[in-house]
Amino acid sequence: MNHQRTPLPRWLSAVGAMSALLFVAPLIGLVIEAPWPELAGLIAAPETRDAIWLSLRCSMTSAALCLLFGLPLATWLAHGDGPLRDAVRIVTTLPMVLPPIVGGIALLLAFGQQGVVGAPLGDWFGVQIPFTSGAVVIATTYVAMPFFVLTVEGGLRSFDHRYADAATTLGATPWRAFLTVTLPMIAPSLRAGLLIAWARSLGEFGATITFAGSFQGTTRTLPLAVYHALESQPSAAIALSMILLLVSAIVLFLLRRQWSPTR
Amino acid sequence: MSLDARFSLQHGKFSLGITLQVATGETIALLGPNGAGKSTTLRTLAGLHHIDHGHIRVNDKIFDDGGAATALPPEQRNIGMVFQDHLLFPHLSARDNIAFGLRNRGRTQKLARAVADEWLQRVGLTHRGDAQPAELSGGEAQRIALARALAAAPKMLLIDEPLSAVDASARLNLRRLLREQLRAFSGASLIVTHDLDDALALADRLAVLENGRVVQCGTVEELSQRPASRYVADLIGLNCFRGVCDGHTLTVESGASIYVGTPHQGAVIATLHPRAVALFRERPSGSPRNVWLAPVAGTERSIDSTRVQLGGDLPVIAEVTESAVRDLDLDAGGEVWAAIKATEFRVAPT
Repeated sequence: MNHQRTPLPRWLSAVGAMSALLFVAPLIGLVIEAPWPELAGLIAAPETRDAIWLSLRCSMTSAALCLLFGLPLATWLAHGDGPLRDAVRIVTTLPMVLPPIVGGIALLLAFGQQGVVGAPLGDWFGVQIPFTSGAVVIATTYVAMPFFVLTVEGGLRSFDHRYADAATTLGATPWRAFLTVTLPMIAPSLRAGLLIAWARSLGEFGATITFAGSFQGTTRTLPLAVYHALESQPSAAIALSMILLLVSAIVLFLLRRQWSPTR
Repeated sequence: MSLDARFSLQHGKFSLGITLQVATGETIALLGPNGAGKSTTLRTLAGLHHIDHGHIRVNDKIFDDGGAATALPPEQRNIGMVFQDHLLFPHLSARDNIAFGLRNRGRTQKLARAVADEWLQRVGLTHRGDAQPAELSGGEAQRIALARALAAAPKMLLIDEPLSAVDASARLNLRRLLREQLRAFSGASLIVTHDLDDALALADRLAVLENGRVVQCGTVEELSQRPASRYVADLIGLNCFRGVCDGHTLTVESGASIYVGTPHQGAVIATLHPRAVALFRERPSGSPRNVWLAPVAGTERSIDSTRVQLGGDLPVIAEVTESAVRDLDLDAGGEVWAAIKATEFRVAPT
């Protein structure tokens, strides 16, 4: 169908173009200032490769953990109403609102050597979490999971449960109905949730540097490497920013059908 | 008795108290005004709601007896359900929708798809197996939904408003297919409808629900002769004839013949509302195709109208106003001219 749309008011297009400029201008700045000749050398540098590799590994692990733990949580939240669910939803949404550095401090207090979780872990198993790659994953998951949970809960709440009813009348157990009907039917919100959670993990800075520190190869992810470079070698910081930009743009392009509204 | 149900349940502010018995191979139509509890009854039989008291038994197997622990969950009831808006799974092809129930019962994908192909043929959609539900027309989707419900060989069939979301041109074909499949089906069937034509064409008996209660259950003749409520009387129309139709001419058992508006062939049942029978002192001129002189057998008054029983070869009940009773002097008996338009008869094959 090819029907004529009502034209937009001119002022609306003008304001729209201006807000687009807000996003385009920094990009242009970055591209102009990037030390292009040195870029290849900077990417090849071991610190950079460590940071890229660590960032990809940690952000993907964190996205996977969001799916593994966030999906049951979202399903439970979507399954009813009441004060208990409201309270749990507020607690889970908190990391979206809190400054990440506050989240990092809270994580440090909980998982640190004296913390409620950290102390027994250290005493019984000799496990130290802070300032390890594991801490990076915990910090990024802590910050990213709310985005996944809220997106998937929204998808589940708009899912027509009569489809699951139909599946059970056809002999599917509730678990099988969930796997073979509910999940495929909410796949768009699952994919969107995963993408947002992954993107949030990739860019995570405040909670990571507070809880995991900045050690090359174990906890210095790309955003941390940018911050580190900015102090000593600003051109390297620009180059690393370019890399983050490229990685993000490539992923957004590859998954463009998953996150854009249906056309 | 294939289905034996006597149960009550409270669903929000709505209370349902149902008594229903359906014989093996029998189809019962659940009729009633909107909000009477027809769909809730089906969902309860399917196990999607639990009953508070009473029992639901199918082939002597207890589905629910009011105890939360003993109630059989829907997936163990082995029933086939067709939903009003078909609810085909949008992420599966038509074929895989039909195969879904068999896959749940442990059949291999290959076998399940082979059975699904047989069903595609039975519902006349062999060429649509690979279509996604969004590509199907309303009538096609409802056929696939019927095939999906029947493919796993259920013990009972529950059909909710199968024809309401289908456009008029596909309706007759779909109704014919439903008739064939209901005839071939060996278990008990319940079909929810608000359309008397569909009920007459598809069901052996009618059960009328009002305010969550079965007010009457029986054959169309039984309901027509002794309607238990005003709604039943208006729905069925009090006049009911069985006979054989040859085109527009319906010959009833007494030998009298009626001219009907829609042509049919073979055994039919026709119903007529008493208000559709007009009475005259003199032979009326004009268009009515059915005009005859009938003896008045009696009159019966209610608050707002009077019913006149006409005798003779074609006994019918007419509903007229009090002033008409006086003008025509009906209380005195004698004979009046009766006229019925051909289009007032609702005719359904039996």
